[in-house]
Amino acid sequence: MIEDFEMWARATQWGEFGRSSQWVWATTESFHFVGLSLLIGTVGLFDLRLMGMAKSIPVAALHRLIPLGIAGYAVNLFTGSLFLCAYPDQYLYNRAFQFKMAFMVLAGLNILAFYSAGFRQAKTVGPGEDASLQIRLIAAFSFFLWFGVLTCGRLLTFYRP
Amino acid sequence: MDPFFVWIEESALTTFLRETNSVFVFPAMLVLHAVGMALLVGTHLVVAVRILGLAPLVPLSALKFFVPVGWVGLGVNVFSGVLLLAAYPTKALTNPLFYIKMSLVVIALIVFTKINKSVFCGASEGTGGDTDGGAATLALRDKRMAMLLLILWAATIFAGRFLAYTYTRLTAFN
Repeated sequence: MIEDFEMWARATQWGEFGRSSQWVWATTESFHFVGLSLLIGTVGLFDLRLMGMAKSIPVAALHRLIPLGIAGYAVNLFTGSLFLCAYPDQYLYNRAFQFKMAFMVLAGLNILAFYSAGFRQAKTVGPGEDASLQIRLIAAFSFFLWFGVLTCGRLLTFYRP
Repeated sequence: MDPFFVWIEESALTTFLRETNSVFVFPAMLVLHAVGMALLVGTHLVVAVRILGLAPLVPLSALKFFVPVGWVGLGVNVFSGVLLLAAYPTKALTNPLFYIKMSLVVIALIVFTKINKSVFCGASEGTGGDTDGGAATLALRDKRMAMLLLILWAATIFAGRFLAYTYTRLTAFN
């Protein structure tokens, strides 16, 4: 099944475009870094607020920046898919990539936990107020996981199969 | 320049950075450089988009408590950047793009310092302690600076990434 995906991905025009020039590659990488700055800037600071930093900011107000983080995530799915389609074998069998995907799945589950269990309370946390312990833990986990994704991503090149 | 490059490249530090085959040495510097970038650019980006009018209910004055997060990122990147430079001095210093990147960083930091002064220290009247709906009262100058800051950091990221593809010499010996 993985081999099927690998063959399909490599054969796509998207993958071919990724292999076409190192300038395409370098530009896509740059956008990937811009996307991660959007994601970690907004989500990371939101997490820090939930953990107790800059408490004079109402949580609901800061949450309005999350769509920017989602935009960054979208940029990175788009740009990341180019890397994957261009050289699928370099990623699918790469330990760093596997860990990166695991961190992303955990971050996704953590987001589900936040919006299903914590958000209704979190958005009522006003200026100077603390979030509940449960929400603070989810925020700390989010902060840790996104930096885990970043770390594994940067290490990909050192774990080439 | 070459004797200088040779001198650095034969130093114990450079030899250690380049030849230690551990993910905790050279790769760790690259990881730290990306982490520091996320903290620095991420924080400055949030300040900039708030000045530009996003999330108007966030009290602008309170965002100053996040500013130290950006400075931590800068510290991490000066540290990791100096070591990356020490590992491959010829590679960076013979590439004109490296000097462009450094200039972009310096200009971005100057622009942020000006924003910091104007918006958080209340140097420009009517903007300092604003709380809600403040975007409308921000000076046009602050908005222009915020836009400039975003462009400068994006350009820095591109310059940094392109360094890996535009160098002509890896070490003094080739």
